[in-house]
Amino acid sequence: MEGNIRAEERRQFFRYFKGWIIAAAVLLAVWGILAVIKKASGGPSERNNPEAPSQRVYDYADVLTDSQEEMLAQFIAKCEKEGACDIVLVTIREEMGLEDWEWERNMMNYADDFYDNGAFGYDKPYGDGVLILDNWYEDENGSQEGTWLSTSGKMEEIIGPSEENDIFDALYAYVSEDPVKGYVAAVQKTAEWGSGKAEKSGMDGFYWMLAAVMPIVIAVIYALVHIRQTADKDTTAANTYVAGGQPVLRGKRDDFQRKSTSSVRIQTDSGGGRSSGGSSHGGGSSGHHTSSGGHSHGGGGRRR
Amino acid sequence: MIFKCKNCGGNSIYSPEKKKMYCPYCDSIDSQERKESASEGLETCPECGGTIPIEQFDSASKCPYCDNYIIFDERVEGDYRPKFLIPFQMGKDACKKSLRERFQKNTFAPADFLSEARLDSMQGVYVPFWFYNYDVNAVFEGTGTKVRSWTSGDRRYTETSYYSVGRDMEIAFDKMPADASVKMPDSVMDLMEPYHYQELTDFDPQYLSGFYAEFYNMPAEQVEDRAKTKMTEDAKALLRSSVSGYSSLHADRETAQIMNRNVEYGLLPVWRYIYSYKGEEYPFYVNGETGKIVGTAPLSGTKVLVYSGALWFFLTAIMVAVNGILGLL
Repeated sequence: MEGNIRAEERRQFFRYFKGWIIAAAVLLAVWGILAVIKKASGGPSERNNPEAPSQRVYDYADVLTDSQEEMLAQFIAKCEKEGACDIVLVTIREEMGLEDWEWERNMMNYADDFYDNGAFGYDKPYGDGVLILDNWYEDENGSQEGTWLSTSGKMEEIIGPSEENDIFDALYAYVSEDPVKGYVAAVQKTAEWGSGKAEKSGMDGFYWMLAAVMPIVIAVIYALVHIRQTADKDTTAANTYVAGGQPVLRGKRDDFQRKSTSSVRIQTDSGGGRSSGGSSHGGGSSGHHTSSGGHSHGGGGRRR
Repeated sequence: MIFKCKNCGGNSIYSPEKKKMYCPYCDSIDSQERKESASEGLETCPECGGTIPIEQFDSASKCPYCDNYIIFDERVEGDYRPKFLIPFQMGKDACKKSLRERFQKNTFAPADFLSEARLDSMQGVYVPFWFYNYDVNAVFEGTGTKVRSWTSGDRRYTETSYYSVGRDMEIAFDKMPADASVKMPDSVMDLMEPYHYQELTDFDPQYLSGFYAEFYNMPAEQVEDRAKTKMTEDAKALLRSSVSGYSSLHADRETAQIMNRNVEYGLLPVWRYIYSYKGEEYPFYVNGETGKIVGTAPLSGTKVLVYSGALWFFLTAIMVAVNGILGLL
């Protein structure tokens, strides 16, 4: 008897979750198949741009030693293969404007023009790549330090505002104290986004939160809804047991007695509306745009 | 007494589906003949001599040895003879189907809650009821208000008119029921209502064959308060429903005076299913005429945890897989 009940419980469970089991199995299978196909299709393609210079580190701000530049160049070369994208690091110490809009425009133009002038691109001139422009300028009027990313080709599609922030976070964790460490972190993060590893290794934070919290919330709601049972209701009416269904009305009286009237002054709202406004600081995303060289770029920046 | 098939000697029972006496052994219809019990006492089965476990108010039962349905003559005759009853309109199979439809969405009910073996233990019971007929004079005296509002200039005006409201009503309540069984919970029997009295028929003991039955456990006076309470509530509701068009209504006097009264004794059909789970009994009652079900399904704690956990697992797996697929595309 007990065995029969257990068997029935299992049967009911699989019948109830049949759709869920199939959906989860199919999706996991598709994921596995896609992963195998991607792996079988080989790693990143070979670089195909003889026009661009081989130099990747331009330390105009002079924040790096020669050996550090050499080390960074080797690291970038490795990361470019991994991410299948050119990665160019440019440090400057130039006045770009105190106002955010001015700073952003000048940084963007500088970065885009540098990329175009070098004809960078992993797959072709002006192709896949990212230029990291880091400005160290500071004077008595204030700091103009900050970083701009100029993206091109496939990287223009991959790197959006959240990816930019991911790269800036990696860079700014170290760059003030140890520029080399900061640049290494930023270059590595850029390569991870280029290769798709960043997506694979870490889902978007919001999605992770959603994936962790939403199933719990839904499971709790599901349990509560199914625990709750509809109460038995009284289905009799007042006339259920009345012979013929209706009583006999022998007398009916609705006599007017008196009337009273009151009044209140209507309050009018004389208050003003709310003003809104504000300004943003610290850079932003430029979205897709065309550089003065006529090439499409994306990217964005952040001020330190 | 027992109803035997003239053709095969089997126990003829009343079939709700066929609405006739039926022999389940040879499929004969209306082939029954009444056979009186020998005078060996109520507890001895007249067919097999086995002991029938009867209780104080049982008027029909089933012999656990030979499965014959026995009707106890002295408990359905004389003062105990019901005036009328509503024969079962719903058979056991229809009742099972009805229970399954009602509770199939109770995901967390134990696995065997609606199993054939469990539902087969369901019993059809004729429950004793007192039926009260009241001629009532109901009166309402009160004050009603009608409110009108309008705006003029920068002022809002509200005008309230007061009316003296009176209603005088004659209400003939026909067969207001109150069960006369200690075993049956009053609240459940109230929820079983309404029964449709067009199916009422004069009492004949053959309707009891195939079912359990009780005769009234207490006199009519003892349960009349329940009927009076229901009657008074209904009378007040009918009075109130005859007053309309007022913004508010205040009652100064609301009475329901009984002018004439009489009471009758009858039986109403109820299917009873007792489900035992972890030492507790969960009773379910089904109106044997209309199919209305009263009862709350038990909860399996294990099922709550397993099903909720499984849902969480599948949702998480699907979200992770979707994210993985999107990352590879």
